[in-house]
Amino acid sequence: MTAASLHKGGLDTARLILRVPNASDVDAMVAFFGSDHARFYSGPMSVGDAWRKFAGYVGQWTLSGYGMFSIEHRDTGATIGMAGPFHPADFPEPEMSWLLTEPKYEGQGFASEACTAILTHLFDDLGWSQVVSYIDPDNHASRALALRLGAVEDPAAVVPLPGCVAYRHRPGGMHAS
Amino acid sequence: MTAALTAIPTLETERLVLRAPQMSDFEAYAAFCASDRSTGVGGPYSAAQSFSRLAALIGHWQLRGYGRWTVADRTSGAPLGVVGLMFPPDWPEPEIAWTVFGTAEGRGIALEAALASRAYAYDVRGWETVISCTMPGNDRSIALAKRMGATLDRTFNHPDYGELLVWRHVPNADARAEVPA
Repeated sequence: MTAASLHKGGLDTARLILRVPNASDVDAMVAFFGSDHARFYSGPMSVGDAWRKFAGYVGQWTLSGYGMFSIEHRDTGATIGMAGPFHPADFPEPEMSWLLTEPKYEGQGFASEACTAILTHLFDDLGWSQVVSYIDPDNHASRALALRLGAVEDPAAVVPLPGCVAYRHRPGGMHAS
Repeated sequence: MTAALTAIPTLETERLVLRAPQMSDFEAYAAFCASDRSTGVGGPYSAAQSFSRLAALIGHWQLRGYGRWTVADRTSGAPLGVVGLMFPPDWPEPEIAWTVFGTAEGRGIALEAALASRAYAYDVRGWETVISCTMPGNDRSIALAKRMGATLDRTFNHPDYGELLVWRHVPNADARAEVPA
């Protein structure tokens, strides 16, 4: 498991900085939501809607006390994704969610590295006992990652996203996978 | 973990506190968004949409360095509306935007908060000019813009809200001398 350290305002992993989102992430996140790559995230959408959606991710930190981290590639400084607990008002519980902003960042273990650190933070630092992910059956990459992270399908979960399957992460899951 | 979030300043006027929006404002904000009074800002909206809108207006501070405040009663602390500065990328210019919740209408609260927002834009942010956008039929908002001394500048076609009237406020150099009618 990749080691992570908590420092002021963020989490460090071997290759990534996970931190509260800010203005430096706007270009990458607006481009993401405007692309076909965002089809599992209500995209593609207009620049205005993309900006407001990202602003909502940021504002959730204030409303909920937690939110999705920006994933910054330490060496290049590029914003390559977001990951963390997403909790809109019509979700029955927070959802461990992740995204990479461009296809070129896939296949390198970035999402796994970020999610491992964040799940460890949720369980060990915040004391969460479990967290769900809702995954579209067509989203093979996300389903594969959820299983690698040790999540188990939860058929009893209330799923607010039509057609999605719930996978539940627990503290022992990452060690067991 | 939240140490990296932009600190939102607090402003005080004669009757009001303009402060950072927070979760305890959600009930009043969602009630306004669900009512017909919110048609002027594209409503009515569901509770889920209202949460997203509240989250986005909070996130605006982090992304722009300025934004809208919850307007609260100085004595009771009750949330009365949302007023402040906004500039999403699909907006023509930064604007002073105001919504007053139903229970607080007719008391000059929007005017008092909008004047404080304008002073903040000019004195603290150093802006030279600022606009307000209203829907053409929103008589109450149009009256407020005029009362602040704003004049009709042009129209702007927004993809979601349709045609908006753009009111330009008195410029920074003249604002201190401006006394609302």
